[in-house]
Amino acid sequence: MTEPAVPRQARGLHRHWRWLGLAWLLVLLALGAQQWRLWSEAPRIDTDILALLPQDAHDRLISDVTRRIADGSARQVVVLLGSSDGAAAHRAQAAFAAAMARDQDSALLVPSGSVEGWFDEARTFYAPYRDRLLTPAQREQLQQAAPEALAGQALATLYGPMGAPRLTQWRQDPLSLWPQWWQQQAAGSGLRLGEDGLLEAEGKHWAALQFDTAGSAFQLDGEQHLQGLLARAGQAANAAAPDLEILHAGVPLHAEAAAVQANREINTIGWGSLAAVLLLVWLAFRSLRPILLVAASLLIGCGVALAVTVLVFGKVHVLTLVFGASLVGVAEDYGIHWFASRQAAPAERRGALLRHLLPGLCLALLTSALAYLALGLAPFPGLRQMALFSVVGLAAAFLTVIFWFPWLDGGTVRPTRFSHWLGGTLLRWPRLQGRAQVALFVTVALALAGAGMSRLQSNDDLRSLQSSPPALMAEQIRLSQLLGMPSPAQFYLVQGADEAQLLQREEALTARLRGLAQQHRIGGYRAISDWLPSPQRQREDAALTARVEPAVLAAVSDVVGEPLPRPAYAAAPLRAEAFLASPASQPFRHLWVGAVGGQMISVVMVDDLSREDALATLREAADGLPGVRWVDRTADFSQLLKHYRTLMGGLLLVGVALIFAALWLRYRRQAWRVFAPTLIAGALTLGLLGLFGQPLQLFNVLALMLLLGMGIDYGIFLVEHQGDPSAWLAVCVGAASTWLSFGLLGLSATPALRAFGLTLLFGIGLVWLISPLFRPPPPRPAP
Amino acid sequence: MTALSLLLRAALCTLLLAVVPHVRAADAAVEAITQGVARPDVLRGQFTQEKQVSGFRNPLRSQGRFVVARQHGVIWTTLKPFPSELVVTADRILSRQRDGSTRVELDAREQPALRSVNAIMFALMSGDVQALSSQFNVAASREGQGWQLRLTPKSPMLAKAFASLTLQGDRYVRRVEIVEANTDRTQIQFSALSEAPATLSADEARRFD
Repeated sequence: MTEPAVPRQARGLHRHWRWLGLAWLLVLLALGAQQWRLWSEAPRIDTDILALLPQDAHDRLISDVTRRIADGSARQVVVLLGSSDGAAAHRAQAAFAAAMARDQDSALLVPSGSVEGWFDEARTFYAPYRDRLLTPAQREQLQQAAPEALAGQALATLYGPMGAPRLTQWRQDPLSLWPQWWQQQAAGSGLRLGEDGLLEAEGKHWAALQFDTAGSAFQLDGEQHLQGLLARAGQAANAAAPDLEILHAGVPLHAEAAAVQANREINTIGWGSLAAVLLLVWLAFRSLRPILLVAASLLIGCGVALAVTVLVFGKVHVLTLVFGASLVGVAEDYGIHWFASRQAAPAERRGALLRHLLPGLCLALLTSALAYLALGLAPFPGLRQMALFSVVGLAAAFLTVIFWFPWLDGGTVRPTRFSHWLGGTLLRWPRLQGRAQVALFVTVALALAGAGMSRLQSNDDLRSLQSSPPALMAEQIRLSQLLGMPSPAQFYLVQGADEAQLLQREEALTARLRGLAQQHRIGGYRAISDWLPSPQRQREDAALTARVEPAVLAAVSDVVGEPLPRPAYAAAPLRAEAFLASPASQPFRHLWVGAVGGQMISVVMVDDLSREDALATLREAADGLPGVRWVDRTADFSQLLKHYRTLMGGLLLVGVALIFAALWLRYRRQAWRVFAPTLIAGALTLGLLGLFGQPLQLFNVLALMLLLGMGIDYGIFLVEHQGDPSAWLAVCVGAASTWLSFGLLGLSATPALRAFGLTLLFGIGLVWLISPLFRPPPPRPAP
Repeated sequence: MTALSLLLRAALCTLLLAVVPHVRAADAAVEAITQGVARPDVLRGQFTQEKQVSGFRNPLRSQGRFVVARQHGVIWTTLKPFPSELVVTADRILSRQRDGSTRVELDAREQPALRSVNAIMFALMSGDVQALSSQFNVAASREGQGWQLRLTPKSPMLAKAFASLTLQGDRYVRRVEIVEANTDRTQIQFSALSEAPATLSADEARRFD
């Protein structure tokens, strides 16, 4: 009676469905064109670990400052060449620089301005202010020493066989105060060059070279351009000095390493998963059309995901791409379901089949999308990117399947021996029968899980996001220690109502830090007030030298018998505006944040945090100083990771309760059959992680959320389609490809992604094995 | 870099007085000269010095006496136009005024980067010519009984401090001229040189502590 209705309905469906399919094609084409334009403008790949971390909503300032500090060195590459022989280090330095200059890739790294060139400029700039630049020791000496004693010293050094080092005419600085000021600046500011331009440390002479990446030439295409260039120059340097030790450091090297690694991992995970999915499809359906269509749905899914992520975030992070590559193993479900159902349905019933499948597919998309969206609950931009990428990818693959597959899949899909065999395995799979078996299984599983979980230890180290090769990290740390490079993640934030107050507050802080440095409790520090003293201090120091120096000049004038008038110096103190506009401030500008929200802000950086109690010492040093705040970004982020690990853990439990409630409404007394496999698999996964010595971090918890979203599906399918081999076939193919994708993600060098992949590798595998154990008994044969 | 020039000057003055006798240069002429120079443990004498410092119309003249002890360093005692004293050792340069007040002009222990300068200095004092010729170009010439060595810095870093160093002598170094990069010029004449007594007096030894 409904016989004629079906074709008419199918035709109706086809007609407006075709329009939708066409519209989807147009959307894809428009998106493609738009992306083409976007990517040709500028590279949209982000490798910066900071981009993954939250901008504190409650403290924008700290985020901005952190970003500023990071940007300050974002293009720098430093090379140290160490040799036991100073002359050899010099030869190596020359050979290295020459090799860099003539290399085919020489445009990638250009030499930075030398310290010497800067020193000459800075000396000229500071000369008019010489009278107000004193070290604390000089200040004390000038205040306390008798004028005659100072005159005696001036005479002695003037007449001494070796004179005194001078940076000006003698009359400009009769007490040789200025060279000492510079010497102290040099000692405290990382400009530690030895007498021959070499650094002395660990029994070696080190020559330093500094380069900047040329923005336009720097590309992250998965090739090791910078490392290659540095390695070739290093060979040239080695030829000049055989016992040479070479150290490299710099953000661009980490960026390149991350890009190279991500490139490799995206290929392994993405193409590996795609190949595996297509192999499974071929085995199950033995025909070219399913392979092409499933591949098309996956490629469109990933492509649209990438496009929308770039549209929303402006850039896509490499870790998002690595994570997104695992999407291949999840998004294939819709296509597989279509073809698994088509095996039993003729081509003319496609419309009806679609109507039949649509609610289930929608529900599957919804649960998976919700699970991925849960990743975005934590305010980490990186996780939100991954969530958006995944949800959009799934939706695009889904839309491709429902709009295009009925249209393009016109032939017949025959059952194959493989699909028959795989579907049939369900009937032979063991099943827990009776309460005793179930209770025994659950008890044993939970005991095993408990044993493993008791070994589980949490770890909220920020470094789980760090994917740089350990060798590169070790070099970076060693070089930072040798050069006394300041930490980018720990610093003081100083605030003041105006420039004068800010600089005075900084001076109060640096007085404490100098004391700590003299006791060797901390390394050095970098403060802009060392180079731009507060106006008050400048006035005091100028008054001091104006009191002492004329007396000294008069005494010397008496001995040498010629008049020695004191020259004039600048009338007003050096101010921030003039200082920041001069080349002299170039190495220190990143310390000056400027006006933010009606306050003046600066940063004081510290180096050598190798002492165990250094962080505590530094935190205490800010105590009781108004407007001074110790900021430890590493600790902040670890705290944040911990906070969200516990929060998401709580949410996971809420999710478990909600899902059980929803299942109860639908399945009542059978609900536990749907639910138990995922729960047991989750518990066992935690146990396995504990047994394997994996730490528990936020990313394991997030993976468990995803497991909850996906694992429940297998239970639903087996309960909904009791004893249906085609449902089991779809579950098996789907689970196998998901399992494989996350397994490949478990190979990632980034600890966070590895944790994610490993958790799902265990979890999905276990749900897949356990689900059929809990399937309902086969329906009694009809009488 | 500035403290550097001070220390190097110290090193070189010491060198010129006490170390040149140890030179075993590859250069035959240099070697011939150095073999004829005395190598006492302790050398005492008097000096007259004339400095031409830019910014001063008249040269700065001074006189005094000195002690060079190979194991310890140099005591440079100015007597005219006013008394003062400078003591140079491996670790530091110390000045002492008429009123007894002292000031450390430079402490190599506080400036680790300068330690290698001292390393060079001692390399020089122990007669390690390789270190010397790695830093300076040495030109030697003979004039009858006497000789002259002219040292010019090899590295641009050193050239920032010195234009040239010239020393003349026979059995002893008799005259030194230091021309600085900033054109200041110092001439020192040595006289009344004596190798006896060959040990430091208690008073001299105390000054090195």
